[in-house]
Amino acid sequence: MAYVITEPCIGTKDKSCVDVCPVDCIHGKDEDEMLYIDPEVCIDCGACVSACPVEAIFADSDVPEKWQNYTEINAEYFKK
Amino acid sequence: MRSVLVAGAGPAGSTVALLLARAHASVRIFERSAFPRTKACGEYLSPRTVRLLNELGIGAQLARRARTVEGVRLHGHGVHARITFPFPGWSLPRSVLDQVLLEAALGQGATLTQAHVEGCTDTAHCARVAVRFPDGSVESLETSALVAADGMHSIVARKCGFARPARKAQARFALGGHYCGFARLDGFIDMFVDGGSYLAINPLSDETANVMLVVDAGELEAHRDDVDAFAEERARMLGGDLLAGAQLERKRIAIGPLAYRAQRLAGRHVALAGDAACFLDPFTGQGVYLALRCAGLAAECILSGSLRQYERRASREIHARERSARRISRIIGSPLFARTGASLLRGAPWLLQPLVASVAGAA
Repeated sequence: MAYVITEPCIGTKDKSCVDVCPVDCIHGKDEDEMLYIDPEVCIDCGACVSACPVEAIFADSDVPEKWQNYTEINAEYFKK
Repeated sequence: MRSVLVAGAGPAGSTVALLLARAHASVRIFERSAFPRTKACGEYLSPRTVRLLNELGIGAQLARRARTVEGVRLHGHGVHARITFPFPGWSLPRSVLDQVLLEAALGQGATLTQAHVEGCTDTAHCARVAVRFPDGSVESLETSALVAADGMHSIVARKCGFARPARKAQARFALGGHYCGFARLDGFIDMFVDGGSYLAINPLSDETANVMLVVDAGELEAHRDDVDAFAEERARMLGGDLLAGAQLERKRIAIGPLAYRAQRLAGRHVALAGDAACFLDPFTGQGVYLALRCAGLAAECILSGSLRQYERRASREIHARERSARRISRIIGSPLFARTGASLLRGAPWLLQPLVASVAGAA
């Protein structure tokens, strides 16, 4: 279980989620188009969900069908 | 006939649905999870909450499945104090409480649809609600009253501009789980306090208990590489002999940041209830009480045609709970106060006990 950042983050990258995360599991470099949650570190507290101004974050079981590919996209980012 | 939509079938949502349906309103509840389901929660119902549940007419049903809580034992700063409630509270798994409340609402004629409320606009004539169904389809509904009981990360609160931005600084997080294999559990909740963290052991049966740890965000971040190991170690350090021999069942759940209050509680056609309105520190043991109270106020205001009153009335209730929570924090947070308080409790319990009991939601 983890939370997933999805499409509305692209071009936004507000970073309020980064500020509120207690385990610092949200990352993204300047050159990345969005931010990503590390599913290995995420403790599922959900604090990031309400911090996001564009409602881009969902629990992995709640990700809308059209954005389900983002679950893998978030995980892939941290496999490098 | 009044027609109301309710987002969320937790205690707040089901209670407002129950009260409105009983008063012959047409109530439609939207809930994204399939019930029964577990919820991260202390699973403690204060004596006052028990009273409210009795008033709702489901007390007898719950009493059969609840465990009696006679009081609380506080341990901290070298002090041990016991507070006995004037009348008992309950400990009860949320899966049971929520299921019984929901069934009571459905029994009164409310309907349940499995769907996710994912948007809301509060306009001059109605609330326009966007609902996403499990098959991915989305529907837009209009209603004269929406009660948003969709939890501490309420999407309705955010969409309507009622939410307060979260801050991590000075925030605390709760890590909870069920432990089994206890050697000796009785009718008391044990709370262990040490500086910034605390542990609550709430017996659910003779061998199992809800064990909840609350720590500062800074400590979690410092142990981000193995949060579970840190939580286990801190729980054992605080819980000492009582926790020895017991083990965690299933996965620990994290919640936070604690605590939270929405900036606004109501608009023209939308009211927030439950954790969506206010999420207290679990130490207070008043979360469910507040959810039921606000649900009652929301139902009254909707039935009397004045949702505007809800802002004022629910705010009063929330401020009272927050004051309670601050008082409890002071009692247990300050070593000097704790020692004074504990010796008063021992020497002249009639002096301090009523205060602490009332603050613990027992009177």
